[in-house]
Amino acid sequence: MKKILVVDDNKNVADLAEIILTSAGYVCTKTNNGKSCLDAVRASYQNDDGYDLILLDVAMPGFSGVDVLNALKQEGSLERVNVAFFTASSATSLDIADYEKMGARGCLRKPFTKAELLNFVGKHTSG
Amino acid sequence: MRRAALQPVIIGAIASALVITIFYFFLTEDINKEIVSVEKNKGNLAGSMARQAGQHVQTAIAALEVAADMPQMQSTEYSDLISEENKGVPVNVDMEKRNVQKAVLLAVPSLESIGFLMPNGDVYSVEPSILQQNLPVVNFAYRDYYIEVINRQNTYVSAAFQSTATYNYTTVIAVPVFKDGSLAGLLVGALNLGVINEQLRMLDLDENEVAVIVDGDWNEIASSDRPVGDTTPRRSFSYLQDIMGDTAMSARIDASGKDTYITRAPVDLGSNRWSVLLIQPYSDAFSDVYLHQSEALSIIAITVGIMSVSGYILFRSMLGNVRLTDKLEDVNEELKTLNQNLKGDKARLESLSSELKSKNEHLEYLAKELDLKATQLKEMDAAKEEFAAMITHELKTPLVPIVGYTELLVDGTLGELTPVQKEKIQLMHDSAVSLSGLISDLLDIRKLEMGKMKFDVLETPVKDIVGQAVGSFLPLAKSKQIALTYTAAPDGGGSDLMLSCDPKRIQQVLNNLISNSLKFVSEKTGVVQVTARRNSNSVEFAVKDNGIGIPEEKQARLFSKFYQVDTSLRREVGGSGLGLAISKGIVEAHGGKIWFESTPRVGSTFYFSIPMVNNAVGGAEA
Repeated sequence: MKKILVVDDNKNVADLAEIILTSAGYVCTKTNNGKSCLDAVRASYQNDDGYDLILLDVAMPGFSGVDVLNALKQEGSLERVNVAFFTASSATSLDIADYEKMGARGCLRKPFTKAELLNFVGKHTSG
Repeated sequence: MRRAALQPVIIGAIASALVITIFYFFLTEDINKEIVSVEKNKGNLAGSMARQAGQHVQTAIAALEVAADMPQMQSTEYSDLISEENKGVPVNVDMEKRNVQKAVLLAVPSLESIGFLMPNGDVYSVEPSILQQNLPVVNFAYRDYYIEVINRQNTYVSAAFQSTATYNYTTVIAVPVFKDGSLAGLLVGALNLGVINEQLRMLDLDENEVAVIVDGDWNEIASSDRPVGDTTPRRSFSYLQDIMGDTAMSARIDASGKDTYITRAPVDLGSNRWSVLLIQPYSDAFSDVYLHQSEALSIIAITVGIMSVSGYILFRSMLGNVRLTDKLEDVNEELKTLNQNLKGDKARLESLSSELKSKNEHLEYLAKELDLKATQLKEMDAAKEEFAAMITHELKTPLVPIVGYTELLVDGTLGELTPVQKEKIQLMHDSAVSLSGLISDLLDIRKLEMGKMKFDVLETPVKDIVGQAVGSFLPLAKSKQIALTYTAAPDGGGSDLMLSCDPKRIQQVLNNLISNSLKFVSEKTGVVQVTARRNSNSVEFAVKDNGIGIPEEKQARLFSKFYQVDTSLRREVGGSGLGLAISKGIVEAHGGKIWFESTPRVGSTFYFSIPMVNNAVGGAEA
């Protein structure tokens, strides 16, 4: 079973993603900020139980999704885990291409339908 | 030959110059003499007036000084002539002093009154006694004449003042009375200067000539133009004092724009110095001189005229060169006119130049203003950008659970619902999705308008773009039993037709067009065909339907924002009215164009073409 880490400061969004992913057979873990996300990722390596995909909200207060991505990149973790963004902010100056240049696998726009989320997650966890 | 002919002319000119010089010399001499004589006459007149006025005052001074020398006045046996109890009423009369005062009044009729002051300034007796009757106990130690006499130990003539009773100008003569070298009192006489006024009026003056006597402060004492009993305030001539000082005996001044000649003669009154002034328009004063001068000048002019004419005739007859002169004059006239024209042109050019300059300055100012406005707009723009980003995020985030949970409710993930519940929740879901789409559309149109939409350009197979766009609508078309088909013709040689573009955005355009067609075709009979083919160096996309078509009058505004052909359809078919405007923006940003053909009730075809090379995708700044 694939393991997904959902990181979003909005509990409703995280809950929804968890329900959809769980119903589709994924194992889903949630955190609500960038710092605890990093902690969770580091812990998973110690237990040798890494995530298949981290679904990361871009705009979070304090430590943003981009900050998390950069921190993971510095730690050298990006080679071991797939990170993808999901964001409600289509006006941010960075578009999907920019995210991909930064090392993310892709970006899912909110709001998403069940099919969109499952397609997106399926695409980035396969292989 | 010519030189010889000129000789008489030169001789003539020299001769006439000589004659004129001699004339002028004598004339000047004569005029100067006359001027001096006029000045002398005026000075004599003024001097004689000064003497008369001086005599008038000197007589009074002499009488008072004689009185002061009399033993009666020097007596220090004072009776209490005026006291608080018997004020004004002479009870214990000091007849000796009074008699002397009366005698002086008789001797000098223009003395109006004589008083005796005690050394401390108290009034002791006044003649005529009628003046004393209402006089309280007074001390005149504060009066200027008292102070002056005490200071000088000598006779003092005060400045003139106008009597409030008689309007006559009056001056006070104060004489110290000494006994054995110490002050025993003051003899004070009020001298009526009206007599001087009379004398001035009787002077034989020219028309417009005025004789004035002024006191030491250059205030009028008497004047020839002042009628008897005239009560107007006396005039000040201090402006003449500024010009003439204490010594000048004549002056030519500009009095209120009139060229005026002043003659002055001083009247010395010991402590005080008055002046007699003769004031007259300059031309009047020297009218005789001018007359003689102009007579002489006329003679000179006539002489010169005769000589010039005769010289000219001589010159003309000798040289016979009149025509040349005339011609030269003509040329000269022409040159003059030309010069004036040039002057006019120059003035016009100058005014034009200054006008241009001021216009230029204004333009520079406007340019600066525009720069400032541009900077402000940029700042506002940045603020709007941030605001838009924030708004989008804040609007979309709450939609996430709405879209998600309504879907989960409908598909049974969260448990089975009744059909009615399912239908209504589906409605909620669709609304939330369309709201989200609207927010995205608004954002897109804004970015397009500001040239800030970013395009991720990729070399993409056209059939993939069309296939994906159509594919996403197949379930909807199927449910409405609409025939949705597509064909993407291969490029020459059977290879895939490739297009350099942002595939997601081109797909967005197709989505908009397909979505519109699906809205306006009828269920079951509707046909929507999507095609893509190469047309020379462009890829031409077309979405053809057999829908209701677009009324002709609405066609022009079709690509405007928020425009919908049939507003009553809005609720039925949904949509923001932004789709076509966004599509147009995306196509044009790719350097392409978008258009349509439509026949009402038959159907519409929307086309857009994107150039395969050099498409100017971008426009994205930062």
